[in-house]
This record gives sequence, structure tokens and C-alpha cells, in this order.
Amino acid sequence: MLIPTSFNRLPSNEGCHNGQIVMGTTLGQISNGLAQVSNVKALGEAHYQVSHSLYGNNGFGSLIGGTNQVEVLSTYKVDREYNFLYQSTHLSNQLAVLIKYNAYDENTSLTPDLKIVLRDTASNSYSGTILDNGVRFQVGLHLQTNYQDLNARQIFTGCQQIDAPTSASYDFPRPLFVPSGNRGDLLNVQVLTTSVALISVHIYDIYIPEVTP
Amino acid sequence: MSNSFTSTPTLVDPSRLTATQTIRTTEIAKLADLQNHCFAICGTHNILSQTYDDSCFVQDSTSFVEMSKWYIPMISQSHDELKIRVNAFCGTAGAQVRFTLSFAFSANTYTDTVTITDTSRYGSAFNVATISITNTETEQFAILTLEAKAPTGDEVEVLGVQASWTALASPLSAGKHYIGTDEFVPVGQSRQGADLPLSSRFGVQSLSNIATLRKRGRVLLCWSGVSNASSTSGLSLAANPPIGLGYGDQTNMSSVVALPLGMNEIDGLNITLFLFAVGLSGSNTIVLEIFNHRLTVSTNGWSSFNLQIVGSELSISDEFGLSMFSVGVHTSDNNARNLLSINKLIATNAYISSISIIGV
Repeated sequence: MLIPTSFNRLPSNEGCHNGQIVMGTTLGQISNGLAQVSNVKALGEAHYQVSHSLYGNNGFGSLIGGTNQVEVLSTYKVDREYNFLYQSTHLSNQLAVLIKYNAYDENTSLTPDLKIVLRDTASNSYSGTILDNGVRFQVGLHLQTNYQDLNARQIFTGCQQIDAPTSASYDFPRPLFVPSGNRGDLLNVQVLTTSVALISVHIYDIYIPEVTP
Repeated sequence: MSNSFTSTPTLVDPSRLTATQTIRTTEIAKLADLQNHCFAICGTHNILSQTYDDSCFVQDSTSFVEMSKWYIPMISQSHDELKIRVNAFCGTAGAQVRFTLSFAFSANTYTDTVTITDTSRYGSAFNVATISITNTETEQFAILTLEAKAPTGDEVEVLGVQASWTALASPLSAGKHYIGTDEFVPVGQSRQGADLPLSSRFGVQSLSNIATLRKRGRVLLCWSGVSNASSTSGLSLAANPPIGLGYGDQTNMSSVVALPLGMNEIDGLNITLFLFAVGLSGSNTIVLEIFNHRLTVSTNGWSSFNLQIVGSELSISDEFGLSMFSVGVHTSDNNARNLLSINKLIATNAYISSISIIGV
């Protein structure tokens, strides 16, 4: 069935009262209303803002507060690991990831790079079993560097439906695949960066517009 | 009679619900299952997500210090267990993080404390706090605060916080359930079997249940500044986190989220914005533009506003197949003037230390 994305008006209660003929439309609207809740409203999502120390040439001291821009400070110019916990749902077949970032390749020998890996969280571990070897964003192909302009850039895995990946290494950007046995579990979206400052990381269950009942 | 449901939603074949078709128990049973499923599962994904980079969220006090607070949605009165995962570390054993869930109107509070086990950045495992709500709380929102303390001679560093409500198991308990004060009546599967009448009550309650479920809160943006960070190291090395919304947050403090078109036309469906203001005095106000609304905050502490969908969808809607909007702080002259900046120092100006935007 096609899954409606918006909140449509529901039929009048009176159409369900005693003495009324039960109309197919009424039941159809109940069905559509519930499908919207179960398959759109209930899609999982997580919106991580990544706060940074404000000290530095392009940040502000704590007596000032707020942040002007996010510069890739020297401590971030090496390989960094971040773990974003995601409480998945039964509809978390695949996860789209959208990241705002700054990448910096001037005055450093390191090339900006960003990888995303999906892990389970057995025993609350950061190094749980890899569920999807994930994707890689590379400078020149996906990542934009910004030496002069420190405004946020954005990368996105897209939402294209994929089959279970078989690659043992990083793929080009695509959604992360959640094995059926892990849907509904707490997952770890692990982001590995080089010379990249994360500004925010957004994780989404992907909407599937047509579902076979 | 059991209010059971299956974990993966069971949809109904729409071709079976058209005119001239016999209403089968199969479809009615699926509709019943789906309602129970939605109530138990919907909204149990992340309700709080925030990460801190190095040397940012640091505390060296040996007694608990309040550092962050967020407004979060209560997805129902029946969802009474909140799991909070904290990524943190401390080189010495004994660091603790305490979470308190409080309700503005009932004034009830619930607390859990976790002892931090990692000794290095993302060393081994995160720690989990569990808050159980033991009273009947009729509010749709609650305030979660985080306090931290370090062992003597060391400091604790928090790298991230994530929280979610625990989903309910099948079957739902008998009787009415509530989202805020709105009723949800679970549907008994055995009442939908063959040779039983299709009651008027099934239709009326299904419509009421859908209307109630639509109001369940979804977190679109949830951010708190870090207050009272403290370290023995200098500011260039540690404890220099963002405390309030600043000039740069015009471009950074927003989420790309799906919003259901049609919500503006249905009563009771709002986007709720919570802001925590600090430093207001006299007739001072903070005027900010958030999600295409110009809002005036005139009192310290929490203020709330109802927002509606205003503005255009993002082009990325085509990718998602949903109507996507950028929800958060705008880039505008007004915000540039009123957010903290080098021209508007925190020491002498009021500011916003927390922002939560909760949609439906």
C-alpha cells in the first residue's frame, strides 16, 4: 500500500455510529491514518549537535560564549573517533546520515577524510560487532575543504534503497544497512574523521513509500 | 481480550477496504494490532542526542554540579522507563554523573546516578542510567538535568549523552492509556474475531486513538549549553564549552527534519519550542528568530512557544520522500544582533542556554 506522508483529516465519528452503514472510505481513512503513524511518524531519527571548545583563533572564550565558526583545531587534525548512539526501530532497515562539518587541508600534511561504520552495542561496548562496514567520504569527491570560509558544509548518504552490502571495506556514500536481527536495537553509528570538525550528525530511518501488506 | 500486537507494523491491504468489499476480520484485526503497536513503539527512538568534543564538558568538582538541562517529550504515561546513555571517562575511579527528570507542574523528580567506568576517551563502554517514573505524570514534557562530579584530584569528561524511552511489550495493559491527558484505548484482539459484531465503538475509538497518537512528541532539535565547566587546566586546554547560543549558531544550530504537512490545519498539533534564558533583568528581553517565527523571551528560566510550519520545504525533500524543513536558529540580522558574540559578551548580556524543539 502507499504510505501517506501527511496528516490527512480523519472522517467524522458519526460515520461509525450505530445505525450507520459502514463505508469503505471510513475504514480506508482509518487504515491510512494508522499507516502514516506507524510508517512515517514512528520512523527513528537522531539529531546530534557536536559542541566544541570555543578557545582558539576562530572561537570565543567562555566569558563571551557562543561560537562564531567551527575551525578544525589542531587536536582534530589527526584520526578521531566519535560514537553516536542510535535507538533504532523495527523500521530501521537502512539509515541515512547527514553530517554538517568543516574540513581543513591547509598547513597540514593530512588529507581530510570521513568514514561511517555501523556497530552493535553488545555489553555497552563502543567496539561491538560491525553490522555494516560502512561508507567513506573523500576530499575531492565528497568533502569540501574550506580554508578561508569557515561556514558549515554538508554531506549526505542519500536515501536510495540498497541490498545488504557484501563489501568488506568502505563503500562510496550510501545508506547504512541494518541486519534484520538488529532492528529495534541500540546501535552505534561510529564516525571516523581525519582533519574534519563535526558540527552536527543527523541519523534517519528511511521512509519507504510503498509497503506490501 | 488481550491488547496484543506484533513488533513489525501490520498494514492493511487497501483494496480490501473499498466499496462492495466484505469487511473481513483479517483487516479489522490488523487495524487493532497496528493501533496497539503504534502506542507501544512510536517515539521510542532518540529523544536526546548531544555530543561534545574534547576538553569541552569537563568537571573537577568533587560534589555534584549542574551542567546541562533539556526539555524532552513524555511519550505517554505508560512509558515510564527512561534509559540515558552517557559517554564519559575519568582517569581515576569514582567519577559520577547524575540525571534528574523533573516535572514542572507536579514538581515530582526522579533521579538515577551512574558511576563512570571508562578511563580514556571512548575507552571501552558507555554507562547507562535508568529513571523509572513511579507516579502518574499527566504532563507531555519533562526536564532532564545532568550533574557531574569527579574524584579528588582528577576530572571527569563527558563526550556524549543519548536517551530514549523504553518501548512497551505486548500485550498492552488493560484500560485507558494517556498521552498527556489525551486518551488512548488499546484494542482487544479477541473482540475482532470472526462471528463477532463490528462495533461502533471500534470505529470511534480508532479515530480517537489516531488523533491521540498524532500528538506524541518527536524531538526535532535538543541542545543544552554546558554551565559550570571546570578544570585545573587553563582555558586554552579545557573547560571552555559553549554556554549559550552564539552568533555562529545561526548557521549551525538546526536540524533537517520531516514535518507532516496538514498539521497546521488540525487542532492540537503544534511544534513546541522551549528556551531557557539566563541573565534577564528589569524589562530586558531576548528577541530571536527561530523556524521563521520571531519570539520574545522576557523571563529567566524556561519559556515555551507554539510554532507552526511556516516557510518552504528543502530541496532534499526529494531524496527523503518526505517534506523536510530546516528547524532551528535562523541566519538573520536580528539574530546576529541578539545572539552572544564578540560584541555581546556573556558577562554582561542575557542569553539562551538551552533550546528544545519538539514536533509531532
